[in-house]
Order: sequence, then C-alpha cells, then structure tokens
Amino acid sequence: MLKVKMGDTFRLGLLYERYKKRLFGFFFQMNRDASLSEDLVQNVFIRILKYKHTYTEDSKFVTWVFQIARNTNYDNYRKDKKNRHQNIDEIEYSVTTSETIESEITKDENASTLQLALNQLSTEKKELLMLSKFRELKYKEVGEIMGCSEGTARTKVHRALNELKEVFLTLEKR
Amino acid sequence: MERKQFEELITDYITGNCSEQQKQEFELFLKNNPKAKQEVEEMNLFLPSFDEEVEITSAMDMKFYAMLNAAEKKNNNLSLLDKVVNVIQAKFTKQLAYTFAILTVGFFVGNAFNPKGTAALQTLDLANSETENVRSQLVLTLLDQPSANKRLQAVNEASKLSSVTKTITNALFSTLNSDTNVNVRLSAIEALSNYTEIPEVREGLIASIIHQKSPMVQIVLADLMVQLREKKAVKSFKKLIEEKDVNESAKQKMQESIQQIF
Repeated sequence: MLKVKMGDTFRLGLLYERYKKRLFGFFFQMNRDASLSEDLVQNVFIRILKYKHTYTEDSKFVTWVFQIARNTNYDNYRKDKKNRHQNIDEIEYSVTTSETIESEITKDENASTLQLALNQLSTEKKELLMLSKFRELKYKEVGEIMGCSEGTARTKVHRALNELKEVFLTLEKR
Repeated sequence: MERKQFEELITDYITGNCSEQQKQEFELFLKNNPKAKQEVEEMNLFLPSFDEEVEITSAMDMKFYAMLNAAEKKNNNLSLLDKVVNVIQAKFTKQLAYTFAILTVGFFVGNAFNPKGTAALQTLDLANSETENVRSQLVLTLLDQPSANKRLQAVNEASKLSSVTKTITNALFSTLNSDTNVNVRLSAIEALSNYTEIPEVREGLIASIIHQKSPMVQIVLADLMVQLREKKAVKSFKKLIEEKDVNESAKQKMQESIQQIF
C-alpha cells in the first residue's frame, strides 16, 4: 500500500486481488445484493486511491481497508434510504431477481435460517461477526475498525455471536 | 472451567484470537470433552461464511482494472505535466540567474570602463555634442553675414566651442586674413588663440602676420607670438618692420616681441 501511496498505482491491482473476495463477502453479507456488492468493492478501491495520502505505516492495511469498507457501506445505506422512496418499481424488481429467501430455503434450510437470523441483528453486530470471521483480524484490529478498544471488541463479538445463536434457535423452533 | 469462561473461549477460539498455547490447551480440553467439541463446531457455523455460493462476476474485475488504468493514465499525465512544469521552472530559474549574472557583470564592466557612464551623463554628452554641432553651423552661417556685428557674434560663438573642426578654423583664418572689420579680425585671433595646440592653427597664425595691415591686429598677433614663443613668426615680423607703411608703434611692439621670443 505504501508503494501505491508513493504513486505506484498499478500495485493497487495486487491489493485488489488479495482483498476483493473478502470485501465482496463483507458487502454481500450486509446487503444480500451481488451487483451492489460488486459496485461497493469498486467504490472501496476508488476511495483507497482518493485517500491514499491518509494511509500511514502505523495501521495495518486490512484495518484501514475495512474502515473504508464500513464507511462505503454506511454511505450506500444512507443513499439507499433516500432512493427507496423515489424508485419503488426498481426496488421491487431487484427484490424479485435477487436470491430470494424462498429459493434459499429450498437450497439449504439451515443456511437460510442462519441468514434470516443474521439479518435480524443490528448492522454493527453483523459487521462485528463479519470482521471476526477473518483470521487475520484480531480483537485489536476489529476494535480499530469499529472504533472501540480491544476488550470492548471481544465482549461485543461474543455477545453478537450468542445473540445470533439465540435468534437462530428461535427461528428454527417456528 | 466455568461456563461463561468456556463460552468466551469458544468465541476466542473460532475467531482466531487465542495464543498458540491457549489454542493447544483448549484443543486438548475439547479432545477429552466431546460434548464441548460439538458445541464449538456448532458455534463455528454461526460465524457468517464468506465463501458464498454467489460468485464474483468478471465485470467487477473489468470495472476495477478500467478504473485503475484511468487512474494510472491520469497519474502519468499529471507527472508529465509536473515534469514539464519542473523543466520550465528550472529553465526560468536558470534564465533568471543568467540574466542577473550578466546584468551584474555588465554593471561592473560598464562602471570600470566608463566611470561617468551613467545614462544621465550619456544624455548630457549627447546634448552637448548636439549643441556644439549647432554652434559650428551658427559660426559658419554668421561669418558669411554682411553685418560686422553678426560676424563678430560668429567669432565669439567660435571661441565658445570646446573642440573645432577644420572647417571652423579655415573660416576663422579666412575672417582673420580678409575681413574688412578690425574688431572682427581681432576677435578671430582671440578665438584662434584657444586652439594653438593644433599645429595647423599655429602655422596659420604665423602665415597671417604678413597679411595684416591694421596696427592693432599686428600688435595683438605680436603679443600672441610672444606668449607662444613662436620663433617661426620672427621672420614675418622682421619683414613687416622693414615695410614703410607699417605703424611705428606696431613696428616697435614687433621689435620688442622679437626680442622677447628669443
């Protein structure tokens, strides 16, 4: 990343290859829209180029990139909230074409229940679980991304995981 | 192990937040507790999976690389622009430095060669030379005037000249030898006496002695020759002394002058 910062823009390709799947997974888990997630991954890299001068050696690249990813997702959510009222037809269309809950159930009931449970969690909890899934992100980095201490991050991740389990079990009983 | 502690350890374990030692100890514990192991495996399922069945399309890669290319191009263009700006700036700075250096050298060289060579002085010199030119023209014009007064004025103007041309001296000699007015001729001597350092002027003055009829002019010329200690004039004076129609006072003056010259 430091080379990208120094003007070696093509090095960004390496970072893209390394992080695109994880970023896509992060966004897809958050919004369940593949096309939108691809756009958001693209937006993350546009922002990386735009704000490359703010990157310092002090922070891990993965921490920095997921901070950008969170912001990108948040900005999109706000924008989406505004647009939702303006373009109902489009929204309906996108819902019917995306992977619907129904089709997911036929594929794998457990997975869809888990997805349903995950969707019932707050955005922050979803993010926490998402970030914790990455082996390279420890509580310290998760805390940095989420803007809290290492200890708080540990407690929050633990609570989010337990809440997901509870919601899942409740849904399964129905 | 307490329940709460165990649950927290599960979270640490599945999220990869255990140290190597903690991990080994926990795995040993799980080996001996199949129920706990099952619980950990179940819990692991709750961590959202990133290896989704939804594949990333090649469109995303294409979009990204198009964006990267555009950014790279922009970056190259910018750096090229920067280079050009840098070159221009360097060139400009060099030019400025050279100009300044040349100016400084010019200033000192100019000062060394021409101590009063300032622009103002040069302008003054130019104005002076123009005045001299005009004065010369005036002298020549006035000397041709029939009025003795004008010719007198011309000779007076001629004596104001700091340097003379051959034309002016010739005109003055012509006045000295042929002007009808004595005062004009006397003034001509006075004017010519300023340029006695010129050999032609001295010779002209000596040659004119013999042509002079007026005792006044003869006396003034005799005085001038004494001043100049001009031995060549003696011959002319002697010739004049021998002439009958020359004024006695003048003869006496010339005699004295011959003696003074020697």
